[in-house]
Amino acid sequence: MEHNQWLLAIAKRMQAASFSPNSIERMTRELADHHQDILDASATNDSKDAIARLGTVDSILIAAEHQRTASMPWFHFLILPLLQLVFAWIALAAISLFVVNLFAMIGINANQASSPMLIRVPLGLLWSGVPIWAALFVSWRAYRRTLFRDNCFAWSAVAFCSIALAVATMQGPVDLPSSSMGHGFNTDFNIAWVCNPFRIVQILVPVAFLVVGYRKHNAPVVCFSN
Amino acid sequence: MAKRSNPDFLNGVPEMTILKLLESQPMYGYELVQSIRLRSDNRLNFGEGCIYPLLHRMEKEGLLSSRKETVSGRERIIYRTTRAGKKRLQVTVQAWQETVQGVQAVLLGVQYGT
Repeated sequence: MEHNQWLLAIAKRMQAASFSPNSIERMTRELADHHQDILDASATNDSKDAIARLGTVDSILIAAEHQRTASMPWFHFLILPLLQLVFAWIALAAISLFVVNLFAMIGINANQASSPMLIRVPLGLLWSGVPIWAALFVSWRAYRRTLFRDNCFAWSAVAFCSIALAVATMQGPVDLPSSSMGHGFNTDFNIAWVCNPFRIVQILVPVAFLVVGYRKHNAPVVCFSN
Repeated sequence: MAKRSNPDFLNGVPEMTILKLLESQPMYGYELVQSIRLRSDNRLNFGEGCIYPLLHRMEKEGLLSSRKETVSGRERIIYRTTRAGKKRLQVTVQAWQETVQGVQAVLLGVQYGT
């Protein structure tokens, strides 16, 4: 009973950490087998003792996350956050456009000063903050991932700098639907790449972090001690 | 931040240990853990469940292969070292031996007789 709860907790935590169903199934199956082997080999049949030998839920999750990011840290801390940023950006922009258009359809235009403050302010925050909300969301996910790593400083720096760079380089989030709205959805995006010395510096700094981060990365170990 | 459970100089040791043990005999997780305990004279302590993420990662990298097999009436996942794993083992063992020799020389003061 106790080991079932322990396995369930591991499965839930792995699910929350976006492990694939196959990985979760395999991990829990092997842990359950291992637990049974310990019981078979011991005279006491003490499940608590077997679980103590296998490790806490936290330690197994740390090891799992650690090994997941160990083989391709550049993917997990550079490429993945940027991909997530793009998806988060598109999803948030779509949601904000949908909400704004929905209000426009019922005659409330978020652009007009005459519209109620209660609607204008939240809509404005949602709309104008699309890149910031997306960046915060992806940064939070990257931060959670780096929590599980020993050598996390350099890679978290890489993740956050690349997110910041992408957000800083893109101009303007999404155009707020104009007052002519009300006959459908307006999906105007106003994203542009601007290159000037300041932005070049903005690019170079994270690249420097990337190089330092890569050089500092070592093959991680979680589970052995002497 | 995750608390470190091992000193820095043990980086790479679990991988090397696993590759070495599975090179001579294919094993499933529990067997492997017992083998590590036995062969290391109980000097390497770790949460036994932490071995599986490591095995899965090494398999993904092609250092190990696995197959399902029925052992004592139960289906097990048996791991073995692949050719790429053997190559990796050769490189890491050499690096490890050089490190040990270097550290040993410093500790014993061989070069300067101190």
